[in-house]
Amino acid sequence: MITRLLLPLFAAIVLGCSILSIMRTQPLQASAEPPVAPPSSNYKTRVAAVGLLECNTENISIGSQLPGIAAEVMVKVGDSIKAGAPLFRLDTRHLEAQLAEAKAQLGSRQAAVRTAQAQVVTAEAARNEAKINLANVESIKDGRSLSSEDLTRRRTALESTNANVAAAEAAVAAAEADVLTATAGIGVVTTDIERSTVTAPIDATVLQVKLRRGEPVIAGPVTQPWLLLGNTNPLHVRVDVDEHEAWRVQPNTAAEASVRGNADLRASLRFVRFEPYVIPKASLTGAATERVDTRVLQIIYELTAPNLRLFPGQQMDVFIESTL
Amino acid sequence: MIRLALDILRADRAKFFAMILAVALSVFLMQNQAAILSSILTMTGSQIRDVPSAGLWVMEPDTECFDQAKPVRDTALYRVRGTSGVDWAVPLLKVDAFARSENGKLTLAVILGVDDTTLVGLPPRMVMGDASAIQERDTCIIDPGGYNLLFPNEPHQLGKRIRVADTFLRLVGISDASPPFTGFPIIHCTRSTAIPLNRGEGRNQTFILGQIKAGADPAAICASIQATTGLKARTATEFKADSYQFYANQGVPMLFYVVIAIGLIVGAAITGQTFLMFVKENERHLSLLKVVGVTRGQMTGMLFSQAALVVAIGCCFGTGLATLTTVLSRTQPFLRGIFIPPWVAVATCGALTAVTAVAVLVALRNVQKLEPAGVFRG
Repeated sequence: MITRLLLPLFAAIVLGCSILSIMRTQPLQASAEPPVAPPSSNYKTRVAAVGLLECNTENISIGSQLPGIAAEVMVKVGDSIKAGAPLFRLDTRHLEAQLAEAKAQLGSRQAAVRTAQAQVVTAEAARNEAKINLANVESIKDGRSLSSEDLTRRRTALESTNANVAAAEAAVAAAEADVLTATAGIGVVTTDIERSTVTAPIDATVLQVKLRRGEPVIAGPVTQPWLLLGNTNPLHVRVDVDEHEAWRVQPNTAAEASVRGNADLRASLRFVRFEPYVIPKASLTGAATERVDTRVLQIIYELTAPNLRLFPGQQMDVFIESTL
Repeated sequence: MIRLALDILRADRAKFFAMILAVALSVFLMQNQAAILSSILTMTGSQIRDVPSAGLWVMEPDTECFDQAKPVRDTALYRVRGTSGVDWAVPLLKVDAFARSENGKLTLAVILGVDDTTLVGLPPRMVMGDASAIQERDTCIIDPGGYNLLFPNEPHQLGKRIRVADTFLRLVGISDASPPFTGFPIIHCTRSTAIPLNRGEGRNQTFILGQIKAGADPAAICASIQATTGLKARTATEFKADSYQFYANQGVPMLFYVVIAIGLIVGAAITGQTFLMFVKENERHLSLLKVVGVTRGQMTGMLFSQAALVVAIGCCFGTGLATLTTVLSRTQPFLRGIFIPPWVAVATCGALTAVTAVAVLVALRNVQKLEPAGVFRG
């Protein structure tokens, strides 16, 4: 009984269990779809690249001509602004004090002009008197009633008063020139006050505001711009193509870009221009140790994607159709 | 007659069981050794197999196997994407770095940085937690073997911290990654988390994983990628074979082949010998059968049916024993990749059957020589 039936039965059960176990412990062989669909393209021959969204005006880093402390920031991130709109204002108290001083100086210079003009009048009166004195003696025909000494004195007096008038007139001119200088001084201070308010160079959207009231501003280029402006309608894509692939890119062929994170969201691209100078690839990962051993051709495309919410600075995966 | 033969066989229970045991042990020995060898060599392709969505692997021409890979240029990804016939491509970063646990355990680990958005490169199954949680920065998942190395004798628990370079990675899952050949922990995180851990290496992509468009010829696509980019392109199957070959060439398999051969020889010797002894000891009965006029064909059938029963039951138990060992081994984190390939089970049973068949033929020759009068001897 044991050997005839139970043993083969037991062996069969062991075999069955073994087969099940062997089947269940096999390593995975099946292929599967990726968890999230990666970007892909239907163009048969194509060039793939990475693109960075930017404004169609490129991104404008707003600088300041004057150093100072920000007294007021008039714009917020995301504001749409017109050309000439004020962006931020520096503290101008010291300039206003200078302006008051310059105005006072102008007043004093203007008074000096009037003083000088009065002196001209005085000098002219003296000269008239001298003229009359001289005329009185010169009209006397009889030379005996007049000493030559007296005549000479009167002539000299007239010359002296002439000189006094000329001097007084020169003093007026000098005082007037001082007035002009003072006016120009006011102009300098006024211009500096105007320049303390930085305005928008173009119609644009405010992309970044890195300046708050009370923070110092230095003049000249800075690594972190105080404000970033740009026109975002339409957006442009700056596409980096490996120099080895650059020969395959043709202008005006079809191109599309898919959004990182959801490759199904696509935008079609219109060729704008080549950046004619091939540059080393920028480090987009931000790692300081990244080795850049590739040069890239940059191509600018205009993005048309009315239904996509896209932002400048975003990366996109780009496919460009090519016949090469 | 066959029933009679089997009755004769079963009558001597001790010998019957001894023969079954001999067959079972031989099958077990061969199966076990062949399975271990096969499993270990299969582990060389574990991390390739763990990405079932990627049918295409692109790497530097110097890369021979998964474990020793040289990173590729940044733009390689786009050049692969730009190749006709490639459906999609994503980067994979592999970093070899020291991982430390909070309790001070230190081990070299394999860190795989998968593409941030598609997560291609994550193992398909999880032991604990959700793999997509690694999209959060500075988080990771680890395989059970790695967990055991870093947190020995601690139950699986998420939220623990692993330090790699200057970064603390928070554990958000325990993956069911296939155990690697090297035995190092397998840590998966996103590529953006892995890049800062990639010290001293300026390039941040090790492999380009991709898929070939349906209907395209993989060999032609691989050739075209190689021609245009100068990189090495392999299908997943080819790359697994490359990795397998890389280690298979290093001599370790030779030792296993020797053990398998010994298993076969010992099994053959024991089984054949026991069977021959059995026939020898039953010579009297067999002579008697000849006396009653059993033909040569009937005699052959009897011996073969006896052998078949022994081999069948022996193979069942041998396979069962080998499977049991495998199942027990798999409970250990580092041996969880041990499995018996079906062809090993079939081949070992086949080999034993062949050896027994030879023994039966030898025994038959002896039986043919028997005189019917032998029944009166002894």
